[in-house]
Amino acid sequence: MKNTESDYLEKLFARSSDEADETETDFPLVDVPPGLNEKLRAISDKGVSSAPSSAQRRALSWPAVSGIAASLLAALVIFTVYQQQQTLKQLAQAQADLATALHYLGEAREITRAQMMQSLNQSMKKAAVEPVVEIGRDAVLPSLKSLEEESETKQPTRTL
Amino acid sequence: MKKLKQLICLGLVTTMFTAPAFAGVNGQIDFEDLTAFYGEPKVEVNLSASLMSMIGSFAKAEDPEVGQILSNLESIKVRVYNLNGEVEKADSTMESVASELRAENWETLVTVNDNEDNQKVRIFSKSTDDVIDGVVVMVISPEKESGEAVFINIVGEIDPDKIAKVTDTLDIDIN
Repeated sequence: MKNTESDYLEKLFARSSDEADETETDFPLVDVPPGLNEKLRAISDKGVSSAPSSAQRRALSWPAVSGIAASLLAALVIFTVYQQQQTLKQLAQAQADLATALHYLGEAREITRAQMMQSLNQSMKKAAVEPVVEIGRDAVLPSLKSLEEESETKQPTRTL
Repeated sequence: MKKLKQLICLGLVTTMFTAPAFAGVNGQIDFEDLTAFYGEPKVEVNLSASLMSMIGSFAKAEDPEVGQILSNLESIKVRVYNLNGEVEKADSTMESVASELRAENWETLVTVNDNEDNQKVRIFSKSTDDVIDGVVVMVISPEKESGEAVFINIVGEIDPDKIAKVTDTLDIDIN
């Protein structure tokens, strides 16, 4: 059987090469061996059946798609975490900068406050102490006078 | 027509050159020129509006009022310079900045001259319709290390009395 097919094919190609110059009408008709057609059909059927259908394709690509989705999701999560960390770092830095700014601002406030208190105290001393002394002198004088008067009046009348 | 164009150009050029070097818009001043006097700053802080609102939004969780105070601020700039003993130069620079601020209608809030530690403080504010646009604080401390000049510019709506509240809430140690 196999010999017949190969004989046929050899014969066909030998003839075709020998009679290349001849026209197509001169091409000899030969009988096709019965097994060859079936074999050729089987090859073509096999080819068709091996090509995956759309459903098969979907079923086959599902793990690949889920893998890609999982890696994308992981990348997204990593990116989000990284971004959050960056924001937190930025926030910490900003808070430290604000602390520095407020520290120097606080120093200025402290100097101002101390100076204001000092100036106020000095002004208060000037404004308050002098009148108090004045008042004190006026207040003390009458009592001294009365004491003097008292001492005068309490002088002993009797003599030894 | 040609003469008019020339006059406009001349006017623009004159305005550009007579504008104070430090003064900016809306309570903002430019500290870049200070480097020419003092050299590179030893401390430099630049807090933009976005950073301020970020700190504000986080602070809101702890204290809504402090969050609001911080969110109202547009920017904070701090420059601290070493004087290297050149106190007189530092004083004259501070006075020149102060006079330029006055020329730009900044109002003097505080002036401290030569206290016990020979420190000098100038605080200016700029307001529009009773709302403070910005504050400038200048401090010269000749006896601190080899002398120190501090320049602070706060832009935005600020109540100086509320700074203490911010400091307390953010747990900032001032000294």
